[in-house]
Amino acid sequence: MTTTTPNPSYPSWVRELHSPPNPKSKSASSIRDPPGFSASLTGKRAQLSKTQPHKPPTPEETDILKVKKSWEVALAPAKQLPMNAIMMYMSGNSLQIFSIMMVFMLFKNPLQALMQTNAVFTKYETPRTRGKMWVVKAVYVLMNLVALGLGIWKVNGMGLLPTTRSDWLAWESQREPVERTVFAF
Amino acid sequence: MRWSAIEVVSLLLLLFSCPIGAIYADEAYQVDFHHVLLGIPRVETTFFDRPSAASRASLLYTLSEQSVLGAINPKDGSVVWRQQLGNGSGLLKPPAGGNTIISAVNGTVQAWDAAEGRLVWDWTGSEDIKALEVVRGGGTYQGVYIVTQAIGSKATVRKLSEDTGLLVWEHEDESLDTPLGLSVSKEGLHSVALHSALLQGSKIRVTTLQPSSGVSIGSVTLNTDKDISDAGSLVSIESSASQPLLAWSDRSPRNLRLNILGSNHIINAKLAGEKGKDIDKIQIRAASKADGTVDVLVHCQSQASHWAEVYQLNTNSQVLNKVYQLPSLEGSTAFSATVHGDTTYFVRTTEHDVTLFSSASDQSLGQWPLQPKPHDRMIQHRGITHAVSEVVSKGTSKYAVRTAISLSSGDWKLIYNSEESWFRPESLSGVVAAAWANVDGHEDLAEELAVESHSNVAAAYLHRLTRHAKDARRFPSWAKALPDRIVDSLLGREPRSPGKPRDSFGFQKVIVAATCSGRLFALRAGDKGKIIWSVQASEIEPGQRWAVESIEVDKDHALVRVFGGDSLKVSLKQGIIFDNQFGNPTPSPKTNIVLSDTSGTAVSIQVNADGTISIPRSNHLDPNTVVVTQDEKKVIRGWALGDAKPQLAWKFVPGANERIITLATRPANDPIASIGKALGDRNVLYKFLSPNILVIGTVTTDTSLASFYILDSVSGSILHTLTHPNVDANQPISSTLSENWFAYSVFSAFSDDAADTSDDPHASAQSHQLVVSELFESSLPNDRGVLGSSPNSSSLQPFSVGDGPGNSPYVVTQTYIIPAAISFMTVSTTLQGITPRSLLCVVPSLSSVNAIPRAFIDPRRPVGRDAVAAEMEEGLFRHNAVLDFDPKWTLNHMREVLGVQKVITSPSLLESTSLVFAFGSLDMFGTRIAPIGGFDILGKGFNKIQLIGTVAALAIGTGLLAPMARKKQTDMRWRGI
Repeated sequence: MTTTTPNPSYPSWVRELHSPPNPKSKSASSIRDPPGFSASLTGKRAQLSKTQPHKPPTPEETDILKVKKSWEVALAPAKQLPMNAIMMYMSGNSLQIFSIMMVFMLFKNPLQALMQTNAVFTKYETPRTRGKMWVVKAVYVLMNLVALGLGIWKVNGMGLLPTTRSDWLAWESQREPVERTVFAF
Repeated sequence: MRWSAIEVVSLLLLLFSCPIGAIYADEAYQVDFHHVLLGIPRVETTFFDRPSAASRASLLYTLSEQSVLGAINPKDGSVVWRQQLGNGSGLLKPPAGGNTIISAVNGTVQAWDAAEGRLVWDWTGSEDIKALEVVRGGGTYQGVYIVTQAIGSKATVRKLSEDTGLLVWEHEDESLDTPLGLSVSKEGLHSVALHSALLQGSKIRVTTLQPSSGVSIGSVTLNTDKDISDAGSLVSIESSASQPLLAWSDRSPRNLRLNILGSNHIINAKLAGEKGKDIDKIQIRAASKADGTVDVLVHCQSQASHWAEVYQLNTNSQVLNKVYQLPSLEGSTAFSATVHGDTTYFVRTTEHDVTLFSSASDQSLGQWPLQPKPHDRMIQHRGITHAVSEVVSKGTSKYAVRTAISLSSGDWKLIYNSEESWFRPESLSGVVAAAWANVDGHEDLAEELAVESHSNVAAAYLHRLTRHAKDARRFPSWAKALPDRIVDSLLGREPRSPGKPRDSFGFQKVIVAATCSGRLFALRAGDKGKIIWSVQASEIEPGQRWAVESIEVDKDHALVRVFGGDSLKVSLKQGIIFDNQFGNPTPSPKTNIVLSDTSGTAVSIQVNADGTISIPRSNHLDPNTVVVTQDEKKVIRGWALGDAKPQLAWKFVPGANERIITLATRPANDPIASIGKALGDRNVLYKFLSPNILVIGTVTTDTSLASFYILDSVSGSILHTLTHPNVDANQPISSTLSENWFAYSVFSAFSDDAADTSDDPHASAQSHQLVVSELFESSLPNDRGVLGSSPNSSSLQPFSVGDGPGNSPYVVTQTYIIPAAISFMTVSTTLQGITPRSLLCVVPSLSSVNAIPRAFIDPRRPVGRDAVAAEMEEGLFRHNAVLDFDPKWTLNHMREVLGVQKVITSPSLLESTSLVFAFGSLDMFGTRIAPIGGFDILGKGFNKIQLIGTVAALAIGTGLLAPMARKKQTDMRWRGI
């Protein structure tokens, strides 16, 4: 290392510390064009796009778009349902780490989504769309409840719901006989 | 699809494989113990001999009072082989140069390989064998001679071939004389019989037979005057070697009389005796030498002392000379005679020393003071019944003497010169009752905790502080033992801390047991069945048995109840007997039971032999209590208690030709974990749980019909009946009842001959059957029967709704064909009853104790079809009529457990594990079983060292790698590598 240093009194890292190498510029203009590249074409296009500016959507259009978008969000859980159902069916009813994790996710996602119902739709909410929004929200909640129902179906299939007599057997008490026998054989 | 194929297969594998009651090779001989006993050795049939002419070392053979023939290695006292022969006193002849040892018990003569105990041949006659003589070494004399006699008929002398046991000849005696013995001399075979003359008492008649043909060649009647009255007054027939000798004494006894068999001359010798001492009893030890002389030792016993007189008999001149007399000593003693070379040695064994004499002079050749080993409270060294000795001369004046001493307690020990080589607790054979006891004080802590929970906060806190202060005093010793314990635990060794072993799992329970000979003893189950103490609790006359009814364990003592109302208490720690109580002789009590009345005080109720009960006049007994008794005619009665006299509530009288064989009630400790059975579809079948159920098994003698009645013992109503046709009542019938199921075994046909022969030719074939029945409240799932959710049940006011059938159970029954008869059955017990109970069976023909897992005898196993998924989930699998005993079910592993009659179980502190103790007329065997595997304890296979090693290696690895990783990260930052 010392051989490349003009001033042997400083180690190389000291110099590097004092005069760090020039940071590379992030702007594209600072990079030279590669050979054979004509800048005019891109300039034309840029000009073209500049000359035909996008017509700003009217507030009505935006609202329709927002409602449309919010419907998509509301129906998203329903689209996942068939996949989830197949996955749950395939994973079997035994208690294993994978099926437990999947069931956990099946409960966690809808519940989380339900908690954030309002937050999810705030960005689509305008004073004008507010009237239509509650339907969307209701559908969204419904869809999540369906997903939750799938989870409950699955848990029931796994036998984790206390729905049968045997689940409450421990709380039933033995009958006390009134009479007692003493055997003296 | 609820079940995939893989799951079904894996469940099946699980069911048919490991976890069910298996005993693994590494646990056998570790967790169990086995006291291999022979019974109390008898003097006539105990001797040292070499198992074959070629072998150098000799074995100690005995045929015990319990009719067990065994060979013992004299070095360590271990049993080389043993065979259980019938009942009754037997005869035994040593190998004496041959390879076989010949026994005669009842009507059977058997020749056993002396080294290995294999049966070489046997011969069975219908009459009892009275005498046995064996002649070996070729020639016309060689053979096994026996005398048999049935009661009231003439005796028959028979000769059997010594090699094959085939009958050579037989000779019937002409008179009704009582045979006494057999002996062979040069003249022929002498048959000694007691001839009862009408007026002059009895005379001895000696008939001489030709050994090759059985033809009578002469008969001599000895003029014994009034000396002999019965067979017991004859002292002995010494049949050793060339000159058989007959010895008896006059009644006083002052004179010794001898007769050389074959001659009619009676040699008379006046016993010298000791001054001022009456002789009570004499015993003769004789040994004959090649030169025709016989050395005779007369062992005289007086009230408190004993001595011996030694005579020499010249058989040619028939002259008896007194050689010397051994001085009188206090206490008990035993003499034994052995011939070694051309010298006869007499060994005198007393409680303090062993002395060796030769027949030539009364100068002792060697004297060895005994050094008794400390056996705690186990042995009473006092009292020697008999002894056998073996003398080895090393050079001219050095001798080694081995003496097997039978103590009056029944125990057996071997003294080599002066040291005790081994001790065999033969007095413990014949256990009649046993009980589990807990002496390690888990209850103490429970009680103290109960005190704390019941008193007020401040007092409880103070109590707790003092308790901890007390605990702290034990800290130094605990800390001192800690390194040892850690090392032991790591190496998987048993804790070796001295004194009380640790008992965190409840394996260290104590078994208190009583033997038929009147002894009480205690074993520690967790410590390889070590005997803690052994005491003579009751003096039992010979031929009598101590009829112990039950042993009940209280906190620090056990209450032993004897039939007839007697009882005594014994402390558990030391075996000290106190509080002997004798029953009231009128009116013939059978037993006592103690009940607590409504105010909580104990009331003793006497149960009489005629099935009635006597209660104290003024009592406040609970009127809802029923006492069930059984009288001598086997009639079972239920007595309702009340304020006044007990009222006969019901009576179970078997039919005219019917007799009760077996009774089963639920065990006193029968915890129920769940009142229902969860089915595969998660519905519930409710168990019929009543503590008052009684199962009665009867057999009719004329129609061979076995009936099993399930009785409600409060009302006496029969809830269910099961019958079996064509039952062999001579085969054992046993039964047990636990929780909501019962099992019994019979030897019977599947169906009645007359009805079913056309359909199935095998229907009438008899087999050993195990029948298991389970009782449910209702056949429908989720139904609690007619009582519904009522919190109480009463047999007398059954129910108040509707007019349907009473509260009778729904019974599911299944029958299995088993390979061998079960003589006793019981169930395993665990702390909370969560673990399914195993059925413990004593199988006498296999000399084993088997534990049949409950899953295999579940009555709900599907018949004729494979189990469906829901049934599989429940653990049910297809029913198979034949239930073979899986070798893994055999608790005793490869050992033979002889004479086991009963099994008792006790819970340990682990829910998975039940303690088992089997006992009976001979052996004792104890183990612990985990019916569905030890799910709450680490097995022997768990390698603590490996675990700790892995963790340590990981820690070291992390410690080493951490700086390296840090350096690399720094390098990466700095150098950008």
